[in-house]
Amino acid sequence: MTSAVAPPRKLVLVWVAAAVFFGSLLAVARAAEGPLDDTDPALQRPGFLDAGALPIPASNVTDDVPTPGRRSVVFFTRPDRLGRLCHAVGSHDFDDEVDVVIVVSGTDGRCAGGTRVLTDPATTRAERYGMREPRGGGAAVGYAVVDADGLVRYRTLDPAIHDELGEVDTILEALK
Amino acid sequence: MTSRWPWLRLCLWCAAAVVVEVALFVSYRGHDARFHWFTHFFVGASVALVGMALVVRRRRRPVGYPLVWLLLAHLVAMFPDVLFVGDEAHARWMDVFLGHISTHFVPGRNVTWYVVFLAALGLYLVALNGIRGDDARTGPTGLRVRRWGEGRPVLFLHGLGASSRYWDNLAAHRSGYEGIAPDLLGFGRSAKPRRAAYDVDSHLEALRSLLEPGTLVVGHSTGAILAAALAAAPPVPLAGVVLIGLPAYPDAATARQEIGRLGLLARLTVTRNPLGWVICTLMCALRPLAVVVGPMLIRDLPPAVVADGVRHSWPSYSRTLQRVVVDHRSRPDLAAARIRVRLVHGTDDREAPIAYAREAAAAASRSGAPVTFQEVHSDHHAAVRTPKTVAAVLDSILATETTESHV
Repeated sequence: MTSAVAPPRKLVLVWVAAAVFFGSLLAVARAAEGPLDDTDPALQRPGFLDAGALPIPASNVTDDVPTPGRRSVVFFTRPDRLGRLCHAVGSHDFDDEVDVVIVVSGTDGRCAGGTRVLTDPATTRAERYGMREPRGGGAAVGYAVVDADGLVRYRTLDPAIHDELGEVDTILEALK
Repeated sequence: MTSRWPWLRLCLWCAAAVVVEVALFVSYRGHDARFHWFTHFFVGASVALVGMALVVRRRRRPVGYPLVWLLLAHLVAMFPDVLFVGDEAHARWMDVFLGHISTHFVPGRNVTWYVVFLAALGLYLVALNGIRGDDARTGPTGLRVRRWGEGRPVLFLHGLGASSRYWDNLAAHRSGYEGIAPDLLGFGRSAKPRRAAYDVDSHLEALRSLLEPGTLVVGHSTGAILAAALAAAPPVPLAGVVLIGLPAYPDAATARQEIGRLGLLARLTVTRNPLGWVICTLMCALRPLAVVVGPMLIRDLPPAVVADGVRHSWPSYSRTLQRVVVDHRSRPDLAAARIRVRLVHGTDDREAPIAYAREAAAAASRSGAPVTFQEVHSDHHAAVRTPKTVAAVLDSILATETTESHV
Protein backbone atom coordinates (compact mmCIF):
# COMPACT_ATOMS: atom_id res chain seq x y z
CA MET A 1 0.00 0.00 0.00
CA THR A 2 2.92 2.34 0.57
CA SER A 3 5.40 3.17 -2.12
CA ALA A 4 8.48 1.27 -1.10
CA VAL A 5 11.71 3.25 -1.12
CA ALA A 6 14.35 1.64 -3.27
CA PRO A 7 17.48 0.35 -1.51
CA PRO A 8 20.42 2.79 -1.22
CA ARG A 9 22.33 1.07 -4.02
CA LYS A 10 19.46 1.74 -6.43
CA LEU A 11 19.20 5.36 -5.32
CA VAL A 12 22.90 5.83 -6.03
CA LEU A 13 22.37 4.12 -9.37
CA VAL A 14 19.58 6.58 -10.22
CA TRP A 15 21.89 9.49 -9.41
CA VAL A 16 24.77 8.09 -11.47
CA ALA A 17 22.45 7.27 -14.38
CA ALA A 18 21.05 10.82 -14.35
CA ALA A 19 24.58 12.28 -14.17
CA VAL A 20 25.77 10.17 -17.10
CA PHE A 21 22.63 10.67 -19.20
CA PHE A 22 22.34 14.43 -18.84
CA GLY A 23 26.10 14.93 -18.91
CA SER A 24 26.29 13.01 -22.17
CA LEU A 25 23.32 14.88 -23.62
CA LEU A 26 24.93 18.18 -22.71
CA ALA A 27 28.22 17.10 -24.28
CA VAL A 28 26.53 15.85 -27.45
CA ALA A 29 24.52 19.07 -27.78
CA ARG A 30 27.67 21.11 -27.32
CA ALA A 31 29.51 19.00 -29.90
CA ALA A 32 26.63 19.44 -32.34
CA GLU A 33 27.05 23.21 -32.40
CA GLY A 34 28.07 24.53 -35.76
CA PRO A 35 31.17 26.62 -36.52
CA LEU A 36 29.04 29.76 -36.80
CA ASP A 37 27.50 29.35 -33.36
CA ASP A 38 28.48 31.53 -30.43
CA THR A 39 31.27 30.32 -28.19
CA ASP A 40 28.85 30.93 -25.35
CA PRO A 41 25.54 29.48 -26.50
CA ALA A 42 23.68 31.43 -23.82
CA LEU A 43 24.33 34.59 -25.82
CA GLN A 44 23.03 33.17 -29.07
CA ARG A 45 19.41 33.94 -29.89
CA PRO A 46 18.07 34.12 -26.35
CA GLY A 47 15.64 36.83 -27.47
CA PHE A 48 15.90 39.11 -24.47
CA LEU A 49 16.67 42.79 -24.45
CA ASP A 50 19.35 44.63 -22.48
CA ALA A 51 21.13 41.47 -21.38
CA GLY A 52 24.81 41.30 -20.58
CA ALA A 53 26.64 44.58 -21.38
CA LEU A 54 23.70 46.12 -23.23
CA PRO A 55 22.53 48.74 -23.97
CA ILE A 56 25.46 50.59 -25.52
CA PRO A 57 25.52 53.53 -27.94
CA ALA A 58 25.44 52.33 -31.53
CA SER A 59 28.15 53.58 -33.84
CA ASN A 60 27.19 54.77 -37.31
CA VAL A 61 27.14 52.07 -39.95
CA THR A 62 26.34 54.63 -42.63
CA ASP A 63 25.68 58.36 -42.49
CA ASP A 64 22.00 57.83 -41.81
CA VAL A 65 21.98 54.55 -39.89
CA PRO A 66 21.15 54.75 -37.14
CA THR A 67 18.96 57.83 -37.41
CA PRO A 68 17.55 59.37 -34.22
CA GLY A 69 13.86 58.53 -33.89
CA ARG A 70 14.06 55.44 -36.10
CA ARG A 71 14.87 51.87 -35.23
CA SER A 72 17.52 49.96 -37.15
CA VAL A 73 18.54 46.40 -37.82
CA VAL A 74 22.13 45.75 -38.83
CA PHE A 75 22.73 42.27 -40.23
CA PHE A 76 26.25 40.86 -40.32
CA THR A 77 27.00 38.07 -42.75
CA ARG A 78 29.66 36.51 -44.97
CA PRO A 79 29.87 36.67 -48.77
CA ASP A 80 28.81 33.05 -49.29
CA ARG A 81 25.66 33.61 -47.20
CA LEU A 82 24.71 37.00 -48.57
CA GLY A 83 22.38 35.75 -51.30
CA ARG A 84 20.12 33.84 -48.92
CA LEU A 85 19.97 36.75 -46.49
CA CYS A 86 19.25 39.26 -49.26
CA HIS A 87 16.42 37.10 -50.52
CA ALA A 88 14.97 36.71 -47.03
CA VAL A 89 15.25 40.38 -46.13
CA GLY A 90 13.98 41.50 -49.54
CA SER A 91 10.86 39.42 -49.24
CA HIS A 92 10.24 40.31 -45.60
CA ASP A 93 7.87 43.11 -44.70
CA PHE A 94 9.73 45.25 -42.15
CA ASP A 95 8.04 48.15 -40.41
CA ASP A 96 8.25 51.45 -42.35
CA GLU A 97 10.02 53.07 -39.42
CA VAL A 98 12.84 50.55 -39.46
CA ASP A 99 16.11 50.95 -41.34
CA VAL A 100 17.75 47.75 -42.53
CA VAL A 101 21.40 47.39 -43.49
CA ILE A 102 23.45 44.32 -44.30
CA VAL A 103 27.17 44.38 -43.55
CA VAL A 104 29.08 41.72 -45.45
CA SER A 105 32.58 40.69 -44.50
CA GLY A 106 33.88 40.84 -48.06
CA THR A 107 34.96 43.30 -50.70
CA ASP A 108 31.92 43.10 -52.89
CA GLY A 109 28.23 42.72 -52.29
CA ARG A 110 24.84 43.72 -53.64
CA CYS A 111 21.26 42.75 -52.92
CA ALA A 112 18.90 42.20 -55.82
CA GLY A 113 15.95 43.47 -53.80
CA GLY A 114 17.51 46.86 -53.15
CA THR A 115 18.47 46.30 -49.50
CA ARG A 116 21.49 48.37 -48.59
CA VAL A 117 24.70 46.35 -48.38
CA LEU A 118 27.99 47.57 -46.96
CA THR A 119 31.28 45.81 -47.35
CA ASP A 120 33.51 45.45 -44.35
CA PRO A 121 36.33 42.99 -45.02
CA ALA A 122 38.14 44.01 -41.84
CA THR A 123 34.96 43.40 -39.75
CA THR A 124 35.52 46.66 -37.90
CA ARG A 125 31.79 47.50 -37.88
CA ALA A 126 30.99 44.15 -36.31
CA GLU A 127 33.60 44.80 -33.65
CA ARG A 128 32.15 48.23 -32.92
CA TYR A 129 28.77 46.64 -32.35
CA GLY A 130 30.32 44.09 -30.00
CA MET A 131 29.46 41.11 -32.21
CA ARG A 132 31.27 38.02 -30.98
CA GLU A 133 33.50 35.75 -33.01
CA PRO A 134 31.83 32.43 -33.86
CA ARG A 135 33.18 29.13 -32.57
CA GLY A 136 34.86 28.39 -35.89
CA GLY A 137 36.45 31.83 -35.97
CA GLY A 138 36.08 34.49 -38.63
CA ALA A 139 33.48 37.18 -39.17
CA ALA A 140 30.32 37.38 -37.12
CA VAL A 141 27.06 36.07 -38.61
CA GLY A 142 24.07 37.57 -36.87
CA TYR A 143 22.40 40.89 -36.25
CA ALA A 144 22.08 43.83 -33.92
CA VAL A 145 18.97 45.88 -33.19
CA VAL A 146 19.23 49.60 -32.44
CA ASP A 147 16.38 51.51 -30.82
CA ALA A 148 15.13 54.99 -31.67
CA ASP A 149 17.55 56.51 -29.13
CA GLY A 150 20.54 55.07 -30.96
CA LEU A 151 21.26 52.34 -28.41
CA VAL A 152 22.13 48.76 -29.25
CA ARG A 153 19.48 46.85 -27.32
CA TYR A 154 20.00 43.40 -28.75
CA ARG A 155 22.72 41.52 -30.60
CA THR A 156 23.23 37.90 -31.34
CA LEU A 157 25.07 35.47 -33.54
CA ASP A 158 22.51 33.63 -35.61
CA PRO A 159 23.62 31.51 -38.56
CA ALA A 160 19.99 30.75 -39.43
CA ILE A 161 18.57 34.26 -39.29
CA HIS A 162 17.33 34.09 -42.89
CA ASP A 163 14.76 31.57 -41.63
CA GLU A 164 13.87 33.42 -38.42
CA LEU A 165 13.19 37.04 -39.37
CA GLY A 166 9.97 36.88 -37.34
CA GLU A 167 12.19 36.96 -34.25
CA VAL A 168 13.65 40.28 -35.44
CA ASP A 169 10.10 41.63 -35.76
CA THR A 170 9.42 40.58 -32.17
CA ILE A 171 12.49 42.45 -30.93
CA LEU A 172 11.64 45.54 -33.01
CA GLU A 173 8.06 45.52 -31.80
CA ALA A 174 9.26 45.47 -28.19
CA LEU A 175 11.40 48.57 -28.89
CA LYS A 176 8.56 50.72 -30.24
CA MET B 1 -7.99 -0.89 -17.45
CA THR B 2 -5.95 1.33 -15.22
CA SER B 3 -7.75 0.11 -12.12
CA ARG B 4 -6.60 -3.43 -12.89
CA TRP B 5 -3.06 -2.34 -13.62
CA PRO B 6 -2.25 0.72 -11.51
CA TRP B 7 1.43 0.46 -12.49
CA LEU B 8 0.39 1.01 -16.10
CA ARG B 9 -1.27 4.27 -15.10
CA LEU B 10 1.91 5.35 -13.37
CA CYS B 11 4.00 4.48 -16.41
CA LEU B 12 1.62 6.33 -18.72
CA TRP B 13 2.28 9.45 -16.68
CA CYS B 14 6.02 8.77 -16.89
CA ALA B 15 5.82 8.18 -20.63
CA ALA B 16 3.76 11.34 -21.13
CA ALA B 17 6.33 13.38 -19.21
CA VAL B 18 9.22 11.91 -21.22
CA VAL B 19 7.42 12.43 -24.55
CA VAL B 20 6.69 16.07 -23.72
CA GLU B 21 10.32 16.65 -22.71
CA VAL B 22 11.61 15.10 -25.94
CA ALA B 23 9.17 17.26 -27.92
CA LEU B 24 10.40 20.36 -26.12
CA PHE B 25 14.02 19.45 -26.78
CA VAL B 26 13.32 18.92 -30.48
CA SER B 27 11.44 22.22 -30.57
CA TYR B 28 14.42 24.09 -29.11
CA ARG B 29 16.74 22.21 -31.44
CA GLY B 30 14.66 23.43 -34.37
CA HIS B 31 15.39 26.97 -33.26
CA ASP B 32 19.07 26.19 -32.84
CA ALA B 33 18.68 26.91 -29.13
CA ARG B 34 19.24 23.63 -27.35
CA PHE B 35 21.10 25.43 -24.60
CA HIS B 36 17.75 26.97 -23.60
CA TRP B 37 16.31 23.53 -22.97
CA PHE B 38 19.23 22.57 -20.76
CA THR B 39 19.16 25.80 -18.75
CA HIS B 40 15.47 25.74 -18.04
CA PHE B 41 15.25 22.00 -17.56
CA PHE B 42 18.10 21.96 -15.04
CA VAL B 43 16.73 24.99 -13.19
CA GLY B 44 13.13 23.75 -13.19
CA ALA B 45 14.09 20.21 -12.25
CA SER B 46 16.34 21.48 -9.46
CA VAL B 47 13.53 23.55 -7.96
CA ALA B 48 11.14 20.61 -8.28
CA LEU B 49 13.62 18.21 -6.67
CA VAL B 50 14.25 20.51 -3.72
CA GLY B 51 10.48 20.88 -3.29
CA MET B 52 10.03 17.13 -3.53
CA ALA B 53 12.75 16.60 -0.92
CA LEU B 54 10.96 18.99 1.46
CA VAL B 55 7.65 17.22 0.89
CA VAL B 56 9.24 13.83 1.49
CA ARG B 57 10.80 15.05 4.71
CA ARG B 58 7.53 16.57 5.91
CA ARG B 59 5.09 13.90 4.84
CA ARG B 60 7.45 10.99 5.45
CA ARG B 61 6.52 9.23 2.23
CA PRO B 62 7.62 9.40 -1.42
CA VAL B 63 5.87 11.88 -3.69
CA GLY B 64 3.65 10.59 -6.46
CA TYR B 65 4.57 10.99 -10.14
CA PRO B 66 8.05 12.50 -9.64
CA LEU B 67 8.66 12.92 -13.37
CA VAL B 68 5.51 15.00 -13.66
CA TRP B 69 6.84 17.32 -10.94
CA LEU B 70 9.99 17.83 -13.01
CA LEU B 71 8.01 18.43 -16.19
CA LEU B 72 5.70 20.98 -14.59
CA ALA B 73 8.61 22.90 -13.06
CA HIS B 74 10.38 22.87 -16.43
CA LEU B 75 7.25 24.22 -18.12
CA VAL B 76 7.13 27.07 -15.62
CA ALA B 77 10.82 27.85 -16.13
CA MET B 78 10.53 27.91 -19.93
CA PHE B 79 7.17 29.69 -20.15
CA PRO B 80 8.67 32.99 -21.47
CA ASP B 81 9.92 31.04 -24.49
CA VAL B 82 6.31 30.17 -25.26
CA LEU B 83 5.54 33.88 -25.02
CA PHE B 84 8.46 34.60 -27.34
CA VAL B 85 6.99 32.28 -29.95
CA GLY B 86 3.84 34.33 -29.49
CA ASP B 87 5.80 37.51 -30.38
CA GLU B 88 6.58 38.68 -26.84
CA ALA B 89 10.24 39.63 -26.45
CA HIS B 90 12.04 38.59 -23.31
CA ALA B 91 12.26 41.14 -20.54
CA ARG B 92 13.71 41.30 -17.06
CA TRP B 93 10.39 40.77 -15.31
CA MET B 94 10.31 37.26 -16.79
CA ASP B 95 12.76 36.29 -14.09
CA VAL B 96 9.64 35.47 -12.06
CA PHE B 97 9.58 32.26 -14.09
CA LEU B 98 12.33 30.62 -12.05
CA GLY B 99 14.91 33.18 -13.17
CA HIS B 100 14.29 32.69 -16.88
CA ILE B 101 16.54 35.60 -17.86
CA SER B 102 19.19 35.67 -15.13
CA THR B 103 19.86 31.95 -15.17
CA HIS B 104 21.54 32.37 -18.55
CA PHE B 105 24.16 34.63 -17.02
CA VAL B 106 25.53 32.70 -14.04
CA PRO B 107 29.20 31.77 -14.33
CA GLY B 108 29.65 28.41 -15.96
CA ARG B 109 26.18 28.59 -17.51
CA ASN B 110 24.73 25.16 -18.27
CA VAL B 111 27.57 23.28 -16.63
CA THR B 112 26.79 25.12 -13.41
CA TRP B 113 23.10 24.25 -13.70
CA TYR B 114 24.01 20.66 -14.46
CA VAL B 115 25.95 20.51 -11.18
CA VAL B 116 23.07 22.20 -9.31
CA PHE B 117 20.65 19.68 -10.81
CA LEU B 118 22.78 16.76 -9.67
CA ALA B 119 23.03 18.27 -6.18
CA ALA B 120 19.25 18.71 -6.02
CA LEU B 121 18.73 15.15 -7.25
CA GLY B 122 21.12 13.96 -4.56
CA LEU B 123 19.18 15.93 -1.94
CA TYR B 124 15.92 14.31 -3.03
CA LEU B 125 17.41 10.82 -3.02
CA VAL B 126 18.90 11.42 0.44
CA ALA B 127 15.44 12.54 1.64
CA LEU B 128 13.95 9.37 0.18
CA ASN B 129 16.59 7.28 1.89
CA GLY B 130 15.80 9.09 5.14
CA ILE B 131 12.25 7.74 5.27
CA ARG B 132 13.31 4.17 4.72
CA GLY B 133 12.87 3.48 8.42
CA ASP B 134 9.36 4.90 8.38
CA ASP B 135 8.52 2.80 5.40
CA ALA B 136 9.69 -0.28 7.28
CA ARG B 137 7.65 0.71 10.29
CA THR B 138 4.49 0.96 8.23
CA GLY B 139 5.19 -2.54 7.01
CA PRO B 140 3.28 -4.46 4.37
CA THR B 141 -0.11 -3.23 5.63
CA GLY B 142 0.83 0.39 5.17
CA LEU B 143 -0.07 1.25 8.77
CA ARG B 144 2.10 3.48 10.90
CA VAL B 145 2.22 1.84 14.34
CA ARG B 146 3.32 3.33 17.66
CA ARG B 147 4.24 1.06 20.54
CA TRP B 148 4.95 1.62 24.22
CA GLY B 149 5.38 -0.41 27.37
CA GLU B 150 5.86 -4.11 27.90
CA GLY B 151 3.53 -6.93 28.83
CA ARG B 152 0.21 -8.16 27.51
CA PRO B 153 -0.57 -6.69 24.08
CA VAL B 154 -3.27 -4.04 24.00
CA LEU B 155 -4.33 -2.80 20.58
CA PHE B 156 -5.71 0.76 20.50
CA LEU B 157 -7.94 1.85 17.60
CA HIS B 158 -8.59 5.57 17.27
CA GLY B 159 -11.69 7.27 15.91
CA LEU B 160 -12.51 9.07 12.66
CA GLY B 161 -10.10 11.87 11.77
CA ALA B 162 -7.71 11.01 14.58
CA SER B 163 -4.44 9.09 14.80
CA SER B 164 -2.45 6.91 17.14
CA ARG B 165 -1.50 10.05 19.07
CA TYR B 166 -5.08 10.13 20.37
CA TRP B 167 -3.92 7.66 23.01
CA ASP B 168 -1.00 9.76 24.30
CA ASN B 169 -2.78 10.76 27.52
CA LEU B 170 -3.65 7.16 28.23
CA ALA B 171 -0.12 6.00 27.38
CA ALA B 172 1.17 8.43 30.01
CA HIS B 173 -0.64 6.27 32.58
CA ARG B 174 1.13 3.24 31.29
CA SER B 175 0.66 0.03 33.10
CA GLY B 176 1.84 -3.51 32.67
CA TYR B 177 0.93 -3.90 29.04
CA GLU B 178 2.40 -3.29 25.61
CA GLY B 179 0.43 -0.57 23.88
CA ILE B 180 0.09 -1.02 20.12
CA ALA B 181 -1.53 1.98 18.45
CA PRO B 182 -1.77 2.08 14.67
CA ASP B 183 -2.93 5.00 12.57
CA LEU B 184 -5.94 3.45 10.86
CA LEU B 185 -5.75 2.89 7.12
CA GLY B 186 -6.18 6.27 5.44
CA PHE B 187 -5.53 8.31 8.57
CA GLY B 188 -2.57 9.88 10.34
CA ARG B 189 0.70 8.81 8.76
CA SER B 190 -0.58 5.52 7.44
CA ALA B 191 -1.02 4.80 3.75
CA LYS B 192 -4.05 6.37 2.09
CA PRO B 193 -4.74 4.24 -0.97
CA ARG B 194 -7.32 5.96 -3.13
CA ARG B 195 -9.02 2.77 -4.21
CA ALA B 196 -9.37 1.17 -0.78
CA ALA B 197 -12.94 0.43 0.27
CA TYR B 198 -12.46 1.88 3.77
CA ASP B 199 -15.26 -0.31 5.04
CA VAL B 200 -15.12 -2.46 8.17
CA ASP B 201 -13.58 -5.41 6.32
CA SER B 202 -10.78 -3.41 4.71
CA HIS B 203 -9.89 -1.68 7.98
CA LEU B 204 -9.82 -5.00 9.82
CA GLU B 205 -7.80 -6.61 7.05
CA ALA B 206 -5.19 -3.87 7.41
CA LEU B 207 -5.11 -4.45 11.19
CA ARG B 208 -4.92 -8.24 10.96
CA SER B 209 -1.14 -8.56 11.30
CA LEU B 210 -1.25 -6.56 14.55
CA LEU B 211 -3.57 -9.04 16.23
CA GLU B 212 -1.96 -11.81 18.17
CA PRO B 213 -3.62 -14.30 20.50
CA GLY B 214 -4.43 -12.79 23.89
CA THR B 215 -4.64 -9.20 22.66
CA LEU B 216 -7.01 -6.82 24.41
CA VAL B 217 -8.56 -4.48 21.82
CA VAL B 218 -9.54 -0.96 22.83
CA GLY B 219 -11.46 1.14 20.34
CA HIS B 220 -12.75 4.69 20.44
CA SER B 221 -15.74 5.83 18.39
CA THR B 222 -15.12 4.58 14.84
CA GLY B 223 -12.34 2.44 16.28
CA ALA B 224 -14.92 1.03 18.71
CA ILE B 225 -17.12 -0.02 15.77
CA LEU B 226 -14.14 -1.91 14.33
CA ALA B 227 -13.36 -3.42 17.72
CA ALA B 228 -16.98 -4.55 18.09
CA ALA B 229 -16.75 -6.26 14.72
CA LEU B 230 -13.62 -8.02 15.97
CA ALA B 231 -15.54 -9.16 19.05
CA ALA B 232 -18.14 -10.79 16.80
CA ALA B 233 -15.61 -12.60 14.64
CA PRO B 234 -12.16 -12.53 16.20
CA PRO B 235 -9.54 -13.80 13.72
CA VAL B 236 -7.44 -14.95 16.70
CA PRO B 237 -8.45 -15.61 20.32
CA LEU B 238 -8.65 -12.17 21.95
CA ALA B 239 -8.51 -11.27 25.64
CA GLY B 240 -11.45 -8.92 25.31
CA VAL B 241 -12.70 -5.73 23.82
CA VAL B 242 -13.19 -2.28 25.35
CA LEU B 243 -15.43 0.09 23.42
CA ILE B 244 -15.12 3.77 24.34
CA GLY B 245 -17.81 6.08 22.98
CA LEU B 246 -19.32 3.47 20.64
CA PRO B 247 -21.69 5.13 18.12
CA ALA B 248 -24.33 2.39 18.36
CA TYR B 249 -26.93 4.04 16.17
CA PRO B 250 -29.94 1.78 15.63
CA ASP B 251 -30.15 2.44 11.88
CA ALA B 252 -28.53 4.41 9.05
CA ALA B 253 -31.17 7.13 9.06
CA THR B 254 -30.57 7.84 12.74
CA ALA B 255 -26.84 7.75 12.16
CA ARG B 256 -27.12 10.34 9.40
CA GLN B 257 -29.35 12.51 11.55
CA GLU B 258 -27.06 12.35 14.59
CA ILE B 259 -23.87 12.86 12.57
CA GLY B 260 -25.46 15.70 10.64
CA ARG B 261 -25.77 17.62 13.89
CA LEU B 262 -22.03 17.47 14.55
CA GLY B 263 -20.65 19.78 11.90
CA LEU B 264 -20.81 21.03 8.35
CA LEU B 265 -18.31 18.63 6.81
CA ALA B 266 -19.85 15.61 8.52
CA ARG B 267 -23.34 16.68 7.41
CA LEU B 268 -22.23 17.27 3.82
CA THR B 269 -20.44 13.94 3.75
CA VAL B 270 -23.28 11.79 5.04
CA THR B 271 -25.72 13.54 2.71
CA ARG B 272 -23.24 12.94 -0.15
CA ASN B 273 -23.16 16.65 -1.01
CA PRO B 274 -20.31 17.45 -3.50
CA LEU B 275 -19.50 20.51 -1.42
CA GLY B 276 -18.13 18.10 1.18
CA TRP B 277 -15.51 16.97 -1.30
CA VAL B 278 -14.62 20.58 -2.09
CA ILE B 279 -14.17 21.48 1.58
CA CYS B 280 -12.19 18.35 2.38
CA THR B 281 -9.94 18.85 -0.67
CA LEU B 282 -9.37 22.45 0.34
CA MET B 283 -8.49 21.37 3.86
CA CYS B 284 -6.06 18.80 2.47
CA ALA B 285 -4.47 21.46 0.26
CA LEU B 286 -4.07 23.72 3.28
CA ARG B 287 -2.93 20.89 5.54
CA PRO B 288 0.47 22.38 6.45
CA LEU B 289 -1.35 25.52 7.61
CA ALA B 290 -4.16 23.60 9.32
CA VAL B 291 -1.67 21.50 11.25
CA VAL B 292 -0.22 24.69 12.74
CA VAL B 293 -3.38 26.78 13.13
CA GLY B 294 -5.78 24.00 14.17
CA PRO B 295 -4.34 23.49 17.66
CA MET B 296 -4.57 27.24 18.29
CA LEU B 297 -8.27 27.27 17.46
CA ILE B 298 -9.35 24.02 19.08
CA ARG B 299 -8.19 24.16 22.66
CA ASP B 300 -10.14 21.38 24.31
CA LEU B 301 -8.16 18.57 22.70
CA PRO B 302 -4.39 17.92 22.83
CA PRO B 303 -2.57 19.79 20.01
CA ALA B 304 -1.26 16.55 18.51
CA VAL B 305 -4.79 15.17 18.23
CA VAL B 306 -6.06 18.33 16.53
CA ALA B 307 -3.06 18.49 14.20
CA ASP B 308 -3.61 14.91 13.10
CA GLY B 309 -7.28 15.66 12.52
CA VAL B 310 -6.48 16.80 8.98
CA ARG B 311 -4.17 13.92 8.11
CA HIS B 312 -6.56 11.97 5.95
CA SER B 313 -7.81 11.99 2.38
CA TRP B 314 -11.30 12.51 1.02
CA PRO B 315 -11.70 8.82 0.13
CA SER B 316 -10.49 7.65 3.55
CA TYR B 317 -12.63 10.16 5.45
CA SER B 318 -15.83 10.00 3.43
CA ARG B 319 -15.85 6.24 2.89
CA THR B 320 -15.01 5.43 6.50
CA LEU B 321 -17.72 7.78 7.74
CA GLN B 322 -20.27 6.39 5.29
CA ARG B 323 -19.38 2.71 5.29
CA VAL B 324 -18.25 2.20 8.88
CA VAL B 325 -20.13 4.75 10.97
CA VAL B 326 -23.34 5.17 8.98
CA ASP B 327 -23.86 1.88 7.15
CA HIS B 328 -22.39 -0.63 9.59
CA ARG B 329 -24.46 -1.70 12.62
CA SER B 330 -22.62 -2.56 15.82
CA ARG B 331 -25.67 -3.91 17.62
CA PRO B 332 -25.59 -7.29 15.81
CA ASP B 333 -21.84 -7.43 16.44
CA LEU B 334 -22.37 -6.96 20.18
CA ALA B 335 -25.10 -9.57 20.23
CA ALA B 336 -22.80 -12.00 18.43
CA ALA B 337 -19.79 -11.27 20.64
CA ARG B 338 -17.98 -14.39 21.74
CA ILE B 339 -15.48 -12.63 23.97
CA ARG B 340 -15.93 -10.21 26.83
CA VAL B 341 -16.92 -6.73 25.77
CA ARG B 342 -16.91 -3.68 28.01
CA LEU B 343 -18.59 -0.50 26.83
CA VAL B 344 -17.19 2.62 28.46
CA HIS B 345 -19.31 5.63 27.65
CA GLY B 346 -19.25 9.28 28.65
CA THR B 347 -22.43 10.56 30.22
CA ASP B 348 -22.11 13.79 28.22
CA ASP B 349 -21.24 12.19 24.91
CA ARG B 350 -22.75 14.37 22.18
CA GLU B 351 -21.20 12.61 19.20
CA ALA B 352 -22.40 9.14 20.19
CA PRO B 353 -25.34 9.63 22.55
CA ILE B 354 -25.12 7.32 25.53
CA ALA B 355 -28.71 6.12 25.18
CA TYR B 356 -27.96 4.19 21.99
CA ALA B 357 -24.93 2.50 23.52
CA ARG B 358 -26.82 1.63 26.67
CA GLU B 359 -29.65 0.09 24.65
CA ALA B 360 -27.23 -1.86 22.48
CA ALA B 361 -25.37 -3.22 25.49
CA ALA B 362 -28.61 -4.21 27.19
CA ALA B 363 -29.91 -5.94 24.07
CA ALA B 364 -26.66 -7.84 23.63
CA SER B 365 -26.63 -8.82 27.26
CA ARG B 366 -30.19 -10.10 27.02
CA SER B 367 -29.20 -12.27 24.10
CA GLY B 368 -26.50 -13.87 26.24
CA ALA B 369 -23.42 -12.07 24.94
CA PRO B 370 -20.77 -11.24 27.59
CA VAL B 371 -21.29 -7.48 27.26
CA THR B 372 -21.13 -5.02 30.17
CA PHE B 373 -21.73 -1.29 30.25
CA GLN B 374 -19.91 1.36 32.29
CA GLU B 375 -20.66 5.06 32.48
CA VAL B 376 -17.94 7.61 33.11
CA HIS B 377 -18.22 11.34 33.69
CA SER B 378 -16.89 12.57 30.37
CA ASP B 379 -17.87 13.62 26.90
CA HIS B 380 -17.01 11.63 23.77
CA HIS B 381 -13.30 11.65 24.56
CA ALA B 382 -13.07 9.69 27.81
CA ALA B 383 -9.55 8.45 27.02
CA VAL B 384 -8.39 12.06 26.66
CA ARG B 385 -10.42 13.68 29.47
CA THR B 386 -10.25 10.93 32.09
CA PRO B 387 -7.28 8.78 31.16
CA LYS B 388 -6.89 7.59 34.76
CA THR B 389 -10.40 6.14 34.75
CA VAL B 390 -9.91 4.41 31.41
CA ALA B 391 -6.48 3.14 32.49
CA ALA B 392 -8.11 1.69 35.61
CA VAL B 393 -10.68 -0.09 33.43
CA LEU B 394 -7.92 -1.60 31.32
CA ASP B 395 -5.96 -2.60 34.42
CA SER B 396 -8.99 -4.32 35.91
CA ILE B 397 -9.70 -6.25 32.71
CA LEU B 398 -6.08 -7.26 32.28
CA ALA B 399 -5.89 -8.28 35.95
CA THR B 400 -9.01 -10.42 35.54
CA GLU B 401 -7.58 -11.98 32.43
CA THR B 402 -4.32 -12.74 34.19
CA THR B 403 -6.12 -14.30 37.14
CA GLU B 404 -8.28 -16.41 34.88
CA SER B 405 -5.34 -17.59 32.84
CA HIS B 406 -3.60 -18.65 36.07
CA VAL B 407 -6.72 -20.53 37.20
